[in-house]
Parts: sequence; structure tokens; C-alpha cells
Amino acid sequence: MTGGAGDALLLTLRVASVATLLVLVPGTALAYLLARRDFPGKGLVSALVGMPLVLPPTAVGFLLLRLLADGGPLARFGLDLDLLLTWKAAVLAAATMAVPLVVRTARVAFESVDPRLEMMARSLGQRPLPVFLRHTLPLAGRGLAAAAILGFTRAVGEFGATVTVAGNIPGRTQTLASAIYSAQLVGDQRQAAVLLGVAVALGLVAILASERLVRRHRDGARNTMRDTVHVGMLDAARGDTRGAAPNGRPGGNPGEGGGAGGAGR
Amino acid sequence: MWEDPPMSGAWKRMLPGAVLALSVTACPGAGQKPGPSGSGGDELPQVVVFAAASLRDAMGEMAGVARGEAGLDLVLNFAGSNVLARQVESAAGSNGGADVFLSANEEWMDRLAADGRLVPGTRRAFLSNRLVVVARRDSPVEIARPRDLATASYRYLSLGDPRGVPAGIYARQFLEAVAMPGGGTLWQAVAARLAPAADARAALAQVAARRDVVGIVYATDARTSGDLRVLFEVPPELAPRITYDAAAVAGGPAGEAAARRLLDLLASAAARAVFARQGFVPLPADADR
Repeated sequence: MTGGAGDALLLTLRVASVATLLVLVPGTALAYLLARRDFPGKGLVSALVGMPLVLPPTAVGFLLLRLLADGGPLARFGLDLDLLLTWKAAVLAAATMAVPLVVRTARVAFESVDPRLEMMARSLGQRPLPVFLRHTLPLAGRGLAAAAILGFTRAVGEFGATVTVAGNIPGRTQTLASAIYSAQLVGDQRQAAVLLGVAVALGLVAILASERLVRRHRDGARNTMRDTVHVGMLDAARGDTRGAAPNGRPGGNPGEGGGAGGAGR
Repeated sequence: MWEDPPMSGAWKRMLPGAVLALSVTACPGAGQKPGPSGSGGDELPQVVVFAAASLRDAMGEMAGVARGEAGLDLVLNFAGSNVLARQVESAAGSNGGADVFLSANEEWMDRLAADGRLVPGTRRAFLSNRLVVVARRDSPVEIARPRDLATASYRYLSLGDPRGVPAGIYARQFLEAVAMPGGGTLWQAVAARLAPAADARAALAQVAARRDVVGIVYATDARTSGDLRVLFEVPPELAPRITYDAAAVAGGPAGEAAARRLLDLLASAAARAVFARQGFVPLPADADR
């Protein structure tokens, strides 16, 4: 019966990874829409996206449970996803709880990209999608990495919604969070301590890795993306196309390149 | 303008979100505190009752009886008896402590007694219950005999966590009492399909969620959901002896006298009628210990 800590760790990593990947692409797209476009019902969409952040996780779990239960609304529409009490339900719960963090963080990241850069690129004849992929996305990269990391950590720690829809079945749906709950519930102090150690180690690794990732990305952004884009655009705007080569190093214009590099710290 | 790194502002603005996120992640919200009873407010003395999850409906009804017959305002805290026993231990003497503990088995009460947490002479076995095997009303699963649990087509067998939840411990005792033709016990035969739950009612909820989940639950719990049907009742010769114990907790916030008044009420004819109506088997008053 004793769920192994290894099983719980592996499942936690799998659930959190899949949930993060699941949320990241549509979440980024939605965040961009919220940051850049006005459309009817935008406030409502924004509020709905934020709901899992303010609702108790158990309330989200209850809602998902009612939606997915056999004979529930989704099943009545002929959509039998066969999710409840499986690891996929844990993914769904974790993804739902991660949505607000991913979308909100990504939205801030996009909002901090100067829209004039995009306008400039478009005025130079670039199509909207290439502008987004080549300029907006790299410029928002650090914020998007933060969004992914926040989503992942939320997914790792998810408990309330997960245990409601996925149960707490050792070796199948028991994550680190639910294994710790289970161990202390039945008074298995040793197992709880082992799991706690695993959770602390995982948390440390995640924090160190994310700091490394952000630092590398920041350095990378300073050295290539931002300068390339900025300098290239400025040069292009001045009619000097040398610096606008997609992967060209800055330096086409010594004054601008030096200034931007120096301001990065 | 162009020299301004676009991301530094973003990090600052993201900080509150990040802090919020960390605090949300850090608090899974698993703590259970006694909540106020639905109808508190006036001058009646409050008695804090920690009661096994399976007593939820019965004790909810008893709260009305206690108010009318004994002038007590019950504050009810429901969970698995294992959780409650630990809460009684850790909250003893504090404001969060219990006046009366109603345990779904004797082992958890034994533990509190051994630790000196009970008022001597107040412990009494007051109820019994039965186990049934249930599935959703619209489930295709048909199981008529215990042994068929090993072979029948279903996904999970839901039960209280047998490492501590009394309903699960009883269920395990039943499964272990069934010898399989090829050797071993039914417990071993179903081990791969067990879905343990945090308490008796949570096991019930897992059954209610899926057509292909069956559960071993208290007969009284099975009655509380109209969506479930009983596949079979655990035969008496295989059933463990189910005993609910009641006792006053030493150092409870309402004081010993109020706790004793509630215990007397639980032994009264009026209370026995309530419990019997809910499907429990009230034990004779001379089952004192």
C-alpha cells in the first residue's frame, strides 16, 4: 500500500510537465490577445482566466468533478473523456490551476514589449506572424520563461483540485503532494519525512534551474536578440540595412550597440 | 527610451504575482478546523464534537435534538477518525480542542485513552454499522458474492485508506477474511485495484464519480446517496465487528459537565431513534467499559 516516493516524484514531474506544456501555447496566445487587442468581453475573459487563482482549489476540483463525472454535462454531450481517477485528471487539475499564472505573467511580458517595435517591423513590410515570432516572442522571452516556471511550480504543488478529480491512488495518481497528505493522514511519519525531503530537493532543483535559465536567457537577450532587433530596426529606420540581418551581431552602429549593451545591467 | 531594457519593469510588475503564486503553492489548504455549527449564535453552551465522517448526517440531525432536549449547541468537526484522533492529541488544552470524540473504531479511542486524553469513565461503545459493496445506480457492474470482487470487470475498488481510516480497516478485515480457491485472500486479489480515500465519505464520492468504480462503504453512507445501489451486503460471518466509541476529551473547552450531558443524550432513547432511522445499529446502554 505504501506508495513509493519515487513513483510519486516521477508522476509529479510527468503531471507538471504535461500540464505546463498543455497550458503554455494557448496561454501565450491568449496572453498576447489580452495584452495587444481590444475585443468585446475582454474583461470577462480576463476575469475567467484569473478565477482559479482566487477560487479554493477544492472548488475548482469540485467543478471539474461535476463536469467530468459519468452522466455529467460533458458525458451528456457525448464527450466521455474517461479522465476521473486517472493521471490525466491530475494533469487537467494542475493545468487548470496553472492557467492564471501562465496567462497573467505572459500578458505582463507582452505588455512590456514596446508596441512601437512591432509597428516598426510591420511598417517595414513584415507580416504579423513573423513579427510576433521573430521580434515579440524573443523580446518577451524572459517573461514567458517566468510564466512557464510559475505554471510548472504551481502544477507541482497542486493538491486540492488534484485529489478531488484524480484521487490518491499509490503508483497511479498519487503525486508528491497527495502522498505527503496521505502519509501524515495515516500517521506514517517516516514516509512523510522521506517525501518531504524529496519535495524540498525538487523545489531546490527547480529554483536553481529556473534562476540559471533566466540568467542565461537574460545574457542571451542582451547579447543577441534585443540588440539585434533594436539596433537592426533603428538602422533599418535610418535606411541603413546592414544591421538588420536576422542573426547579425550588433555593431553595425557602434554608438547604439555600445549604449544598449551597457544599459543591460 | 531604447536603452531602457524592456524586461526590468516586467520583473517588478510580475513580483506580486510571483509572491501570490508561491503563497498559493505553499498552502494546500488541507487543515481542518472545527467550523461553527449552522445554527449557533444564542446563549446555549457550545460543545465541540469531533465525529467520524460517517456520522455526518446522523450528528447533523442530533444537533437539533441536542439543542431541544439538552440545551447544547453542537459544534461539529467531521473527518476520518484517524485524523480526528491526531487533532485531539495536538489540540489538547487549546481553544481548538474537542469536548467529545466519536470514533468509528476502538483503536483510535484506545490510543487517546493510552495517552490520557480521555475523561476516565466516560468512554462507551454506542453504535454499530454494516459494510456494503456499492456501485453507481447506472453502473453495468454486477457482483453478487465477495469472491467475485477478484474477477469482476471494474476499474477501482474504492475504500477508506486501510492504513488508518476505520472504514478502510474494516474493509480490509473483510477482504482478508475471504479465502480464495487458488490460495491467498481476496485482499491480495484486489490489491492492484484499490483506490484509497481520505475518509469513509470520500470513498463514497469516488464511487459516485465513475460507473466502473465499486466501493466498500458503510451501509449508512450508501443510504445517503440516491445515485448508488448496493451490489451486496458483506455477509455477517465475514464482517468485522464495527464499533463506534464515544468519550469525553480531557480539558475540553466546554468543560466536563457539558460533555457528559451530551454523552448522556447520545445514550438516550431519542438519540437511539435518530441513529436507528439513519441505519445505524445502536448498542445497548450496558456496553459500558
